[in-house]
Amino acid sequence: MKRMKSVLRLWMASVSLGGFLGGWVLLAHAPKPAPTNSTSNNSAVAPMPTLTPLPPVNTDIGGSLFSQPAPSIPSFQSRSFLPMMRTGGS
Amino acid sequence: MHFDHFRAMTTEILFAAEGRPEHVRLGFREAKAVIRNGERRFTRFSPDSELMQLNRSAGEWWQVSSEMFDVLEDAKTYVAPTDGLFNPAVLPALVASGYDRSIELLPEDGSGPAGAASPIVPPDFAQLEMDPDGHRVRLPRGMQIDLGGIAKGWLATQAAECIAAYADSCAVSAGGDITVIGLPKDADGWSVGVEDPREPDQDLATLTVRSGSVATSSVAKRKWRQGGEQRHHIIDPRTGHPAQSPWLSVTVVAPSATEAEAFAKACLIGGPQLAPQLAGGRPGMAYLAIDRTGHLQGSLHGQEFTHVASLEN
Repeated sequence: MKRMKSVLRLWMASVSLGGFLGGWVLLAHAPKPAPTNSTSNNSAVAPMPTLTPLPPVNTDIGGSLFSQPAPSIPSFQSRSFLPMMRTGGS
Repeated sequence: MHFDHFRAMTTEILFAAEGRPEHVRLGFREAKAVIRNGERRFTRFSPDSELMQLNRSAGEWWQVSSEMFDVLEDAKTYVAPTDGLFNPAVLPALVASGYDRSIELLPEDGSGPAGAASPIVPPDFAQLEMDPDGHRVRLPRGMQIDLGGIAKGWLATQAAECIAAYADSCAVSAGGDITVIGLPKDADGWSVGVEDPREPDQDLATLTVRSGSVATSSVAKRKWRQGGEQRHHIIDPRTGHPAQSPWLSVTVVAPSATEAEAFAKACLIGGPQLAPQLAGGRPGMAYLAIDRTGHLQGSLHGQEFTHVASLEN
């Protein structure tokens, strides 16, 4: 039994060492990754997209009466309560 | 209850209605088109608007749209009952007071143009001639009109009628000119808060309106400085100057929004001496005035009151 344990230990050590050395050899012969800090390759990087500015909300607040109406923003709402309207001149 | 809101005529427009959502949505769409078209037609800040074309035609017969004809007809109707205090022919006086561009473009520091050397007293608006068969009108030579307030009221009513065709009940507010049609479910009227002109975020009274319209004229809104002087947009046709009233605002409940607009303006200009006789006994009309101390005064169906928390029509 004791002998069996020793053989098993030796086998595990050998397999571990073999696996380690095999991996080392494989990595040493693998193709090298392309360099990432080279300035000559910067032109290949896709440019950041340019976003169009968001339309302002209520564009007709400060404009003339004939400014284009603001893009349609959903303002239709349903509520369960009765609204309180207000009057105060305008 | 369904709502929609947007800005037009440099003020806030609010629709409220009960009914099937898909129907109400159609009504709101039509009503919004009515407001947008009216905004283009009645503005005095575009030389191409129908109003400004009409102003340039003074002295000649001029064909107008049915919308313009309706508003002018209403406006003319209210000249005599307000003793001429309601007078849309104040445009030259308004411009001379510095209100020569859209309100948000006026410089607040008083750096705008100086006023006229002498006040411009407007001609009698009742001199406007109207031909109902040909839909033509003739402004007397020299008359220039501003339909800002009354057109807003008229558009509120037009928009409300549009929505009412699709809804069980509705209310439209065009910058505080409000028209209601039908009663909201489980309520005995539409609640309308009356702004405190000194603290616009606060209400000083609540009206319960079952039918008709509400409008408010205020010297606390649309004001600017000309030279060293504070100006506002309510011109007293008797002097050609911004009105000197002890009241800051007058709210009128009336059968129609144009009537409410005309009488709110006339009562504000006339003050406590003239308002009771102008609006006090008029059928279906009630008014509520607020002075500089926040004191409330008014009448409902001819009954005077001096303090009110709730006014019903």
